[in-house]
Amino acid sequence: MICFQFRKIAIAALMAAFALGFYTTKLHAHGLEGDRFFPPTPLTDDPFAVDELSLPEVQYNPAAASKETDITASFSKEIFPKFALTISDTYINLNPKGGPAQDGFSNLGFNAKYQLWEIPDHEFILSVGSDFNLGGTGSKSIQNSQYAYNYYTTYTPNIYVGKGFNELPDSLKFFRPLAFTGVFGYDVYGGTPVSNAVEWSGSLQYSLPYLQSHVEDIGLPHPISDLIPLVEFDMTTPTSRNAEPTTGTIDPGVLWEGKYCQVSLEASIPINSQSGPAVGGLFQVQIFIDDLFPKIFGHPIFFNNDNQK
Amino acid sequence: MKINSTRSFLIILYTLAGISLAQAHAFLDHASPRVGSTVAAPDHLELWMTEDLEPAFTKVRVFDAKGQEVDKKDAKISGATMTVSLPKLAPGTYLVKWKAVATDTHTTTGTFNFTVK
Repeated sequence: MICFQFRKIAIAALMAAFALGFYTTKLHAHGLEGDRFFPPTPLTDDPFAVDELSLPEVQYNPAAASKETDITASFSKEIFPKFALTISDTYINLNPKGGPAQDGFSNLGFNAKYQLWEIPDHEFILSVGSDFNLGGTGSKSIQNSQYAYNYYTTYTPNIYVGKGFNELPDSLKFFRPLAFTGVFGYDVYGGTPVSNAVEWSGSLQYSLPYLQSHVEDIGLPHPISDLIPLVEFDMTTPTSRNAEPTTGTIDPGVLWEGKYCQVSLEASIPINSQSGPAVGGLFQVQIFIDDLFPKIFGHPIFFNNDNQK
Repeated sequence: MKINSTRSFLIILYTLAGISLAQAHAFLDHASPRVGSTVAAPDHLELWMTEDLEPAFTKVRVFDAKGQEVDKKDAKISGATMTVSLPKLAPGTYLVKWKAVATDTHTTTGTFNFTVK
């Protein structure tokens, strides 16, 4: 019941954002810093507080105890200039070995993010924010499984960074399409036996569109010239005494940049046995809603002014 | 409940799609002289963007190694292309700076070099 109540509120908030957004007019960009477009990546939350829609993100994890498939949707809306709110939810399907399948929704996730510091000429951005994972809003069937921590509300203050390599000298010009994004956060499980943890993730990207349009046009045809090969990592380090070691994955893959959407495909390689016994996979479709619905998205709801990007 | 919510979301999405003209950010598709190329002195620079442009706010400029603007300041914007005339350029490396405002007001910027041999 609580779960449905929160979902109803979330959908109402979404509709309100649509309605308010419709009456503003000026547009500014998604994920652009100077000449650099930082694409949203599946595992590393990008540092931009802009309108984004991820629908769907599918993650497959062949863990030892049970095979798991997650389907996630998230929606971000810029509320004030450089400040955005995100809501997300994940549908989880578990197939335990020797047991019945379980499925249901995870807790509702929220994020608030503010772009604190930007240097466009250096393709640099630093943002701050926090994730809120609202305990008790997930499905009971999932809470009773290995996701027992879903009972608890989690707060994760984060620092987000993005940096392009545009300042490299001419002798290293073919490295200029490289860019890094990273998130450093601290999970706080208030008043629970679950260990707090440091969350650290990042992506190293090589943008072929950037190579073609800013460094050297080497004649790549579409769709190759629309690709961004990348490697992500996503780690969790529990901080309490006697806690388990760091777990996580290294995720090589590729993004394809379309006109109105982006498609990502990554392998998910566990770093140790505690992180999983086999390679999993990630698939994400990111919809550029500010391009698809320019009258509605791509600008803050409040204090929208002409001096923005 | 879930089906009704999903249906409502899709109805809103497609309704808004109907009243919103889809556009996209204008990125550089290709240029003449080509990005990063070495060429004989060209008499003009032309950029082909991925979207139609708003002429009043779109700019393209060419600078020499000393930072002096060398183009003839006669940029023409038509559809998704921008063109500017160049004088007889001396051998050297030149910097192109562009600012593109798509017809839906999305703004993008970019820079690249070309070299005159």
